[in-house]
Amino acid sequence: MNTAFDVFINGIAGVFTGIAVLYVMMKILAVTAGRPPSVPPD
Amino acid sequence: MAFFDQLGILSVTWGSVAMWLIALTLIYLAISKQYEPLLLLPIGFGILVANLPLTGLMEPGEGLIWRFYHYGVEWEVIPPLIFLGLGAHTDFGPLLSQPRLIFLGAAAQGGVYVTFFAAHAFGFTLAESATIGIIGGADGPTTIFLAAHLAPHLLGACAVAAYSYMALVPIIQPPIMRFLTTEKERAIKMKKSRKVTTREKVIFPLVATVVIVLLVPASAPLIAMFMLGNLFRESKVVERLTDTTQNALMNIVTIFLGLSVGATMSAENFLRADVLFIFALGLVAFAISTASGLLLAKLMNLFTKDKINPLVGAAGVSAVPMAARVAHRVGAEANKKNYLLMFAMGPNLAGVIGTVIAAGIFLTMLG
Repeated sequence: MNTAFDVFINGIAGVFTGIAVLYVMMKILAVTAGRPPSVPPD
Repeated sequence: MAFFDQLGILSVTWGSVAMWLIALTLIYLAISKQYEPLLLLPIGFGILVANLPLTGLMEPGEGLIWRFYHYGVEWEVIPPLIFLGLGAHTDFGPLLSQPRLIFLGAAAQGGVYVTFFAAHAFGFTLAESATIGIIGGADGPTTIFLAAHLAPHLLGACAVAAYSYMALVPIIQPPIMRFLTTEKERAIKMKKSRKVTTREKVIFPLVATVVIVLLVPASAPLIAMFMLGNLFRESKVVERLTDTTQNALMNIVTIFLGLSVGATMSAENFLRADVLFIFALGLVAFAISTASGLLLAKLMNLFTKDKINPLVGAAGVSAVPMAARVAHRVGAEANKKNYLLMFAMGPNLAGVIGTVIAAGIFLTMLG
């Protein structure tokens, strides 16, 4: 049985963990897919 | 005579009259003031007809609107479909170009958890407290989704509170923003964002779905549909599906959602002291969420070279795009050349994701 305190702590920790992981994924995405494709020389 | 015995007017109570007045107020606000008219209009009408006596519209197993409610809301169909449409409308570009702003969307969930704790301290059950707290996220479909699971008897009140506060963002947020920032902070001009590639925009909804659902599986119905709608939009290969989800489907489900939610607000469910208290707690949740997003932006400024205008932190609540527009407007008052809208859209979208994660955690722990 969860107490209000459990839900409170887990909730805040869970939201920040989820967002932090997304942040890392966005950074990786920017490095790997963020560069516009190079234009071949004429 | 049997016909006269069945006259609805003979069964009118003071409670139903009071609910008609509430319904007419919402309809007035929707039509005359244009406060969230797409929802407040059907909600208001739903309240009106559900409180007309002897109609049986909300009779379990028989009533027309009960069927909409049962199969649409209780079966978790409509809120995820709304998210599908929202995803198809969303451009994650502003968030992808400034990933650090995503933390402001997490901070803006502060009001959800503080109010959850406060509501429980005032005697609400954990499930009821979670439903009340999520109002602070200012996200109507998520509030309805959570309420249908955890506290269906509070669904009508919490949904109306959430949509009311979403509509009142331009009135509620600016005083809090001005109180917590200096003129100089409000005038901060943020560094120009980089250009986001199409490839990033296409990959993001796939990555975000996998990451969030792996962490919080209970959030899957909302997040999966949200990201699917976004993938439709960004892939640019299913224009017909994008158009349908953005317009026709979204409009259809909005009608059924508004009507069903309004119809849950019967006099016996709504005219209680604790419902007024829920509205008050919802307002507190929303105010704290606004403040916590803003304060995290100020905190981040202590450690970063490229300063963040703290006003964009207040847009971390999920009222999209209203909260971002308000941040832009208040910023423009301090510096006319400041264009904050695109920066504020980042935390605004992060707020949607943050609220869905918060709801998923509540469901995991209390559902």
